[in-house]
Amino acid sequence: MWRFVKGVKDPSETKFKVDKPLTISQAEYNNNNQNEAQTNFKHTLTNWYTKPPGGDSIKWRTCWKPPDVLVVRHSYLRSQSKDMGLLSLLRKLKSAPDKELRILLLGLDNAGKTTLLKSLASEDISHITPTQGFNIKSVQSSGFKLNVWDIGGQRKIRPYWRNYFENTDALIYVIDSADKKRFEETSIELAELLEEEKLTGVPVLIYANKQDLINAAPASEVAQGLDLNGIRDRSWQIQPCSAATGEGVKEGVEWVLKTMKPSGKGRK
Amino acid sequence: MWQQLWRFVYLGLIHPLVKWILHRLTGKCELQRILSSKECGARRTQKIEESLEMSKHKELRRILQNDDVNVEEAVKDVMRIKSINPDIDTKFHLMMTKCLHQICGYKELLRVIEITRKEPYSSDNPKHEILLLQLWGTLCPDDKLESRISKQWGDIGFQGDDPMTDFRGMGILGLLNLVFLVTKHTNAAKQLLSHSTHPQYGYSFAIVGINITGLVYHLLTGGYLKTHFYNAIEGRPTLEHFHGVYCHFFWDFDQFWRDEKPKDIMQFNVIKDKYEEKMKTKLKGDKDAVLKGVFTQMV
Repeated sequence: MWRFVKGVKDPSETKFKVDKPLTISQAEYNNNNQNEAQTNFKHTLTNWYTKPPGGDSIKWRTCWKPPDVLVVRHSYLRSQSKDMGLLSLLRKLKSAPDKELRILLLGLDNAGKTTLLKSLASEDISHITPTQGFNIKSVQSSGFKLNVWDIGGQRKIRPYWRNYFENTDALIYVIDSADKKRFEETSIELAELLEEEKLTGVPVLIYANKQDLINAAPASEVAQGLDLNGIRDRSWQIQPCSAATGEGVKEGVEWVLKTMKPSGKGRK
Repeated sequence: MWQQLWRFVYLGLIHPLVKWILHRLTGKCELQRILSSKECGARRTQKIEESLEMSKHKELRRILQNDDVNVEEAVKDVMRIKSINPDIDTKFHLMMTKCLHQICGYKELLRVIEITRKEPYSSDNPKHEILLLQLWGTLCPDDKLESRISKQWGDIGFQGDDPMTDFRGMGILGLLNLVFLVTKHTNAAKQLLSHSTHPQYGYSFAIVGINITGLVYHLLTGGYLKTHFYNAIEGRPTLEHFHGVYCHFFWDFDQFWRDEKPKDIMQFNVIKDKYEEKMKTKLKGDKDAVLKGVFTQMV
């Protein structure tokens, strides 16, 4: 009934997604402590915040009606967990979690990683600034919860990439297809990634991004430039796309999910 | 549910009733009461803004909706609709004019900023190129830029050989902000640049600068900067004022960043979000808040 979406963007919050509108009388909950749960629920309702779907986070307001997404501050959960505990209540309520996948989004600076991340999460892409450090978002897609890590591509930051390799289920490597001058640089970076021990066997999806630009190289040319046919130790795929228009993005993610399912690589 | 009902009852019945009773008792309309009871500043101007927004008169609500409002005319309209006698309430005209200038000025600033932000950096535009070279020349007067496309841009914290690609969603606004900082506050900018080379607490000066533009832009569009502008500036806030606020935030964030003692640059977004939250709370919570300092004073 409730799906539990752990807040990944802001570590001080936990987000709870509600699939179905909530009613004040929670008789449907098969809960031993139903009365307690109810009172707790009533008691806390006004203290929860709701984010309007697709709305700006600034516009959070105290909620008075069943929300689509509940955001509960950790500090509040802690204060509640002493008596009965909102946390334990929510633990009881959450259904079996989706399979979680850890996806790493890498590539040179200005390849379009953050735009791709925002496009995956259906967010506004018009205010993007260069990434210092990293961004992370979790996206729900056909029964999977994708935790996508977008790490800055600036030369200075590349040495930090390796800190994020552990437990990666899929690598997405983004290329600016219009920046032919840097094909060599990007192919060296990719080759180094593929030799990393911690990424052994991890499937790799290559997005030939910026296909909306007239001077973009077609995917076949990118594949040749990067010598992708030389990859034999893992499954790989090249997908032409434009993060700006959204074209081709979905197909790439579908490939990732498809490679996950049969091999059972997704971890609980 | 109850809150919704209460909101409905309050806005639909109680609030107008209270206004009506007070109007009868004091002989003044809500706008007059706000102007006479609140000191000049964000408290007063934001109350006036709310009052206009909730007004039952379309003409009054339109003052907030329209672009390019003629303030003189608008004040006359208000006095006509509310039948305010300038001989009895002698200060009304002046005070209302001030408030409307602040309110409309903020909206005007929003438009200007939006236009500037949407203008992408273009290498074919000589004005853009001059600004970019000015940025380098002022920040590093002793080092000659070898060519327009150069690894040297990395020294002041751009990502690649051509800064063009780094402006992205902030467009020319990001560049104007940086150029204002380095030309008007050259010493402060150089100090920031030297902080940015710290082995542990270092960062990329230029792209952090562009991220700060993003932060200030979000504070502006979210209405958070109203508190500061209404308190600090009597008239209409301009692009210069925006630049001043930008410099303030860059300087202040740099200090916040170092105080947080980050492990490495990868902590940037976490700390930036924390800082943004802090500033939002400050500007929303304290109606007397002003961003004090050299950067916001001079303009």
